[in-house]
Amino acid sequence: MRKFIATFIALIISISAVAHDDRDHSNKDKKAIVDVIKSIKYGWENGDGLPFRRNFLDFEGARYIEGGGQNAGLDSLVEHHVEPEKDALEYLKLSFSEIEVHFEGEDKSFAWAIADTRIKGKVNKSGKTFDKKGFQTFLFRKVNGNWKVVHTHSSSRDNK
Amino acid sequence: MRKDRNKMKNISIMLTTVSLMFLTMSNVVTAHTSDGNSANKRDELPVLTSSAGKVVMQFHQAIQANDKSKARGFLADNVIIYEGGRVERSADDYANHHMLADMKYLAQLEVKILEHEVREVGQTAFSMSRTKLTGEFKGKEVNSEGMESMVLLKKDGKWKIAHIHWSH
Amino acid sequence: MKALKILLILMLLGGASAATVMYSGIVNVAADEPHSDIVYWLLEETREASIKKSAQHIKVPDLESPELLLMGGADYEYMCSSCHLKPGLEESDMSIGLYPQPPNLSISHETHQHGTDEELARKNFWVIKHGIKASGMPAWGKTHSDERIWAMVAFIKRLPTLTPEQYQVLTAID
Repeated sequence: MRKFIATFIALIISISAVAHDDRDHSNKDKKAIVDVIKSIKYGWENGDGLPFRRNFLDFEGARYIEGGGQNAGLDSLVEHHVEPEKDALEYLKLSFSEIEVHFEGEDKSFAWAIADTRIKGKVNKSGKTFDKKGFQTFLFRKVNGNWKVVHTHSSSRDNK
Repeated sequence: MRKDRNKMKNISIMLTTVSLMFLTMSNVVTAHTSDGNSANKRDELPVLTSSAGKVVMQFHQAIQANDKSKARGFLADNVIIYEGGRVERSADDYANHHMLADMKYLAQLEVKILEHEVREVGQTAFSMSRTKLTGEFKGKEVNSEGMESMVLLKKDGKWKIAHIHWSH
Repeated sequence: MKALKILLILMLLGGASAATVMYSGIVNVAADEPHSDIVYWLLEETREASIKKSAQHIKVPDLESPELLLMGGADYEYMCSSCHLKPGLEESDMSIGLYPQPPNLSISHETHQHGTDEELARKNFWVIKHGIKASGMPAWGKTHSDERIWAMVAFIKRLPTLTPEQYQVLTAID
């Protein structure tokens, strides 16, 4: 009887250890993805292409969609969109909230994240300010242990 | 001698006549040329021959054909849809509300696919497409480009759309 | 008058010869006994010329739309593949047993098929819709709309480019 109880307790401990480890793993991945999203926020706000080059997976056919347009490829995104905004805008404030991350695949090496967005800024040339809210979709793949962005899609409307 | 010459003349006339007959009756063989119209057309085959891509195409067709139950069948029950500043958090939510408006809108317009890529990674897939919408809706001219991103998940051997982000 | 008598005699003789050939049973109609080369050639040429003439005014729609490919694929698998084969299937009972042998539509016939893409599309449409007498090719137009037949024409055009896996995805009925 004692042997049986001891075995049962050992089994319970080992199961909860594995479950805890899985949750840790999932929390770790979620934190990694949220960190990537934070660095993208920094990149946009400062017109800095480095977070994009570091965290995006560059490949033939990559597309980054914004509203009714898109950047084809990472170079186009960074050189024609992110970096020029540093001079074009007096300021840009971007926030991602209500971030949801979904892990998929047997090895959980694919993830998609969605978030609410709020974008405020001021255009240097015209002096116009804008305040928009919308949504963002990110698609990620885990490459050599790091989460890389493979696709983004954002859309927004004037905040009324 | 004269008879022989006449005989030869008649034979050559006959031969010429028969040759002309064959020429007019024979089919003219034309070279196999490619259809010039297809040179500028988008090839949908790569998308259609991926099982996830086929689901995306069929979903689009069901929306355009006003087939509510078929379109709903391609969505995961807990699909999350971003569209027009709104979010819908279930297939039933979308099917019972905004899907009907989308169907009504698209029924009036010509939809041309400009770009469509589908990538399958095991049991997940993502689709990205760009379309051109032209026509008239409620008396207003429509000429816009629409963008779509989708995440699909394969469960029990069937691809279901788990997320859609539409914008224009 | 004399000429008329000779003509009548010739016609009677012709009719009698035809009846003798017909009812004697000497004509071999077995599908597993091919025609002689000359008879085969005569029948082939007559058939091709007839189809070409009958199809010449058919207007070919846009065959590139994905809707047509999807519709045509499913119908091809169900109605055509057992005779006309598919990627990965090199022969079937029907393709072996029928005479004339149904063309294998899953392989490219570019090297010996004459005509533009449009001419081929017209020909294929006509053949699918009207069938061919005494050949085993049914007239699908009796049970299928022109739209469905054009879908099959569109699919047949792309069929030689498909791998077995692509074919399976495209023709699967979900």
